[in-house]
Amino acid sequence: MDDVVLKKNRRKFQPSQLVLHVILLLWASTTIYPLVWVFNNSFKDKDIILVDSFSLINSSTSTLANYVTAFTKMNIGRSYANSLIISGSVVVLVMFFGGLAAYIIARYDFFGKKVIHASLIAALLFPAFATIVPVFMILMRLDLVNKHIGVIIPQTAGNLAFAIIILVGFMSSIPIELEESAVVEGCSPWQIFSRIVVPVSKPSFSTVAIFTFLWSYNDLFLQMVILRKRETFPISALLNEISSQYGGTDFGLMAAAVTLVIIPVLIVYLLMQQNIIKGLTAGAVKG
Amino acid sequence: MMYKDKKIVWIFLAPTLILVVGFLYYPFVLSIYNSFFNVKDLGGISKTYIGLGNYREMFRDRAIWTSLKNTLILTVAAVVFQAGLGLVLALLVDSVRRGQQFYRTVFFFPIVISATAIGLMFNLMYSYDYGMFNQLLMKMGKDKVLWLDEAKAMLMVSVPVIWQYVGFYFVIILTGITGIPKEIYESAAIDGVTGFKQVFYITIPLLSGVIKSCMILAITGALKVFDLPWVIANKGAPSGKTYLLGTYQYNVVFNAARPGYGSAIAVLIVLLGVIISVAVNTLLTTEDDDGY
Amino acid sequence: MKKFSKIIALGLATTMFGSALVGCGKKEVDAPPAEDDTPDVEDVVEDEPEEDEQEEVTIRTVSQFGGTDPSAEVYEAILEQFREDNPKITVEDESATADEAWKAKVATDFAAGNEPDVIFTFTGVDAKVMIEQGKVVSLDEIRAEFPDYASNISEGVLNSVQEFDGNTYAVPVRGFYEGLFVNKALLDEYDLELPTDWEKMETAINTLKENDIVPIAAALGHQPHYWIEHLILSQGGVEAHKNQDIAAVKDEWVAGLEYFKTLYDMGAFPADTNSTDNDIITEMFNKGDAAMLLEGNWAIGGFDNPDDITVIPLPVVPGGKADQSDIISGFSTGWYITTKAWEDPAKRAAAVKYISAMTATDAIGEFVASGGTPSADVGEVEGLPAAAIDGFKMQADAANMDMPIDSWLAKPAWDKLLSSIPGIATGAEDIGSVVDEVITLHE
Repeated sequence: MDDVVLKKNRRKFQPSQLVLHVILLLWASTTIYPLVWVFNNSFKDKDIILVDSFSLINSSTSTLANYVTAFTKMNIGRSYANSLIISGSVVVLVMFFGGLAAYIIARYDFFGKKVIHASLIAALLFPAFATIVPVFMILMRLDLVNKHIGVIIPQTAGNLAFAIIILVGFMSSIPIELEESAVVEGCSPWQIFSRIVVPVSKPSFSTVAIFTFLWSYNDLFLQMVILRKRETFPISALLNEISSQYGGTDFGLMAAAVTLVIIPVLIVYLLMQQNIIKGLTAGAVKG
Repeated sequence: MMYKDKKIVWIFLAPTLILVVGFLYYPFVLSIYNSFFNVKDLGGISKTYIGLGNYREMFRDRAIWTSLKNTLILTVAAVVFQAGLGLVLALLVDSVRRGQQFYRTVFFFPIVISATAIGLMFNLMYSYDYGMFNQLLMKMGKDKVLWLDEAKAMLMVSVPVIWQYVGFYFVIILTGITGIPKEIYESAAIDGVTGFKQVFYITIPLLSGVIKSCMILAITGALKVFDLPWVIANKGAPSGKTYLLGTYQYNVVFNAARPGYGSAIAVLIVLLGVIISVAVNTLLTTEDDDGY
Repeated sequence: MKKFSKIIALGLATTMFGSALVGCGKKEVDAPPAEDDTPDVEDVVEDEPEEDEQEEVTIRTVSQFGGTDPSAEVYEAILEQFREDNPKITVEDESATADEAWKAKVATDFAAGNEPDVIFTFTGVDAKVMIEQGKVVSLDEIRAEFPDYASNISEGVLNSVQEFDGNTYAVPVRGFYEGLFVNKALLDEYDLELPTDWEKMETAINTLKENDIVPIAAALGHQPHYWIEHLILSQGGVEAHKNQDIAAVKDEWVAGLEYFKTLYDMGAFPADTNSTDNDIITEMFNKGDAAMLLEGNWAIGGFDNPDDITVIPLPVVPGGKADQSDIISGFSTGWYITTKAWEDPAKRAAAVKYISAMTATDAIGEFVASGGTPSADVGEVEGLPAAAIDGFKMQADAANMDMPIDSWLAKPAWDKLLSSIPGIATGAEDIGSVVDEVITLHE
């Protein structure tokens, strides 16, 4: 497989690279801005943010006080670890269970398939407030309240529908010829799934991992209801706790908290994204 | 070709079905049950049976109609602009020779920032006395504008809501593009299909599954969205004009303390979601594929 | 799979066996306590060296003392002291800021029978379901066994948190008042008098308006709460304000609420009052871009220069029945012992001990140091800013004090009223029909 030739062929579509970059940079400026805004404000005193949030900090106005408060008042390290345990487990379980189910829905014909697919879409819309009481009761009966697994299980269930919709969309566009030869060679469904479908679908699994991680990580409501002890708090729950005071919110502290919360997500995104870029082609699998 | 091995079907589906039924469907069915009650507390300890009372109230409730109208507009906008812009941006990024990694990274930024922070930023842009927009207008010698007035508010709320998640569809569609075997482009080029034609005759058709997933996610996303619009326009400000089904439901449950009525609204949202998604799926299904 | 169900069965069996044992133990201890060996709570709190009848016990507590609020630190410190003084009582504390997730957590706990042993939460309409369901124990019941329970709390305060059934359940720590915070420096700048009557108020509004100062910082689309209460109080007087039969005082409500439109039309509020939020307008007042703010005492903690600010009762509207000194004030939170803890003989005394420590006079003194009214006589609170001192004076001078309307108004009705205020201010909503809807929703 000759990459150079290939690129030449693919890149025939090129009105003008410059025009493309201008458009993309315009959009990029809107997406970079909020991150800069949050980061910038995390170094400001709470009193000036509401009236002066758009100016850049300089050495005389900047303060590390918000970060000092965040680090001294709370055990941030332990909370990062809690978050990683919870969201990491959710990601692994969602990818495994969701992958199996998506493969079946994409490739098999069986009674009730349409109903199952539609039911999964419906499940995307169930609001958390409506399901929290019964979920809590189940977890109490299983004695999982205040334990990480008590959050991991319902979060896994909650993210499966999204994962399956994405994976089905991707798997159904994989040419089936790939699997046919494996069937002829007598591979079992599990072997076809693990040796052919999963490697080819690696980019979509990465996408699922990114968003599952993000949502699990930011899902304050469930986390706060199930986990009550500071020792078990994930980072977003912990930092949500500290930025409220008096009647209002300490926006400087909130900006610092948001910065601290997004760093791990961006790291996960950057790592996972490598897989999307490298995205294996059909040819690579065959070879 | 479709496989038919029944045993494998249920073994592979089992973990998903157990989790989804146990932690989503069973609780939601209980919630549907609650929609026939006047529930007085979040836990549902104190409730009285009122039959279809909550559903009848929906027809009389002006706020429901406002939110329904706003939500349907937002749903269309989400499909067109979120999924649409996501597709356009993904195709463009796929066509540039340099900086792909950069664009992939920065387009994702708005998604990771909490709605509270993004909402605060927009509040401070729109603010009449302190807002960035009005400060810019004043510098240009123009009068200050009330950005969130009744005429413009829905637009001013929708733009951030749509904008924040464009990057989400961008990532998903880009993932789909990476899955298209390069050989297809090679052989197409040999047949003389190049440039724009490749996009329309190869890329988009091969992405149909992914695009359909994106549309379904955009529809369900718009139907339930609540956090960002809630922060920007509390209680559908001004005067409930910007209520969406998601924000109205939140208000009914947490501020009006009526989880029973909230459950009835949840049922409405789920029904709408299933109907619209199935309709879209059916409309987009061509004869040579089976709709998935 | 089989193995799994075996484990579950085993687990269930153990639980049942375990609870059976507890059940047996309970009967023994549950014998009626002899009259004279009633544990003396005060002594326990004073850290009497020997208190050996205390068994090893764990109690679960939930409070609203969370976040970076200064009172959270006070709470933590008292909790630490309690742990030190009572090595046999393990306290599992689940305190957090009282946001939606907190409310959901508490409601879910009560629904699932997983309620804590002691809880610091709201009184009034927010406690109604909890009380109706018999989930908490009344003061009378506790005092029958622990006569000194909450004896340091003022009788008037305890009466003020009496619930719909005539019983008192909560032990309050600190109360609140609402009033019109005024930036004195700003008024001086424009030679304006304190708005102690409606005429001065109108003059102030007009003059400030002409000088591009926002007269009154208010976010009517976000938190019109205090304005609703004060306008109705001002118009109808305290009798109309506390009358829960709204239909009987409908005219007073309508006439009071009409002042939203009056003030809105005068340009008293920020231009974006219907869409801005409370944090922004509070900062607007704090920064001196607005001259007045109707708020609760908790706002003082956020002021940069609380010495420039005073607080006065809202001037009575023309023809209003209120006395000029009438204010909204009271106690809306307190400590409860749950029935679940009370019926567990091991936990009963521990729960009482815990609340007694949290509501000891010294503890209350520390809690009010960061704002609020003490529920017991704590003497002079030192080092308060001018605004807070003026606030205490305003309270002391008040002819009448009443709890806010939302302490008794059913939530759906209150939410309807809140949501209608922007429309009332602009004139888009008919006030009479809004009040009719509120009456219907209140049932």
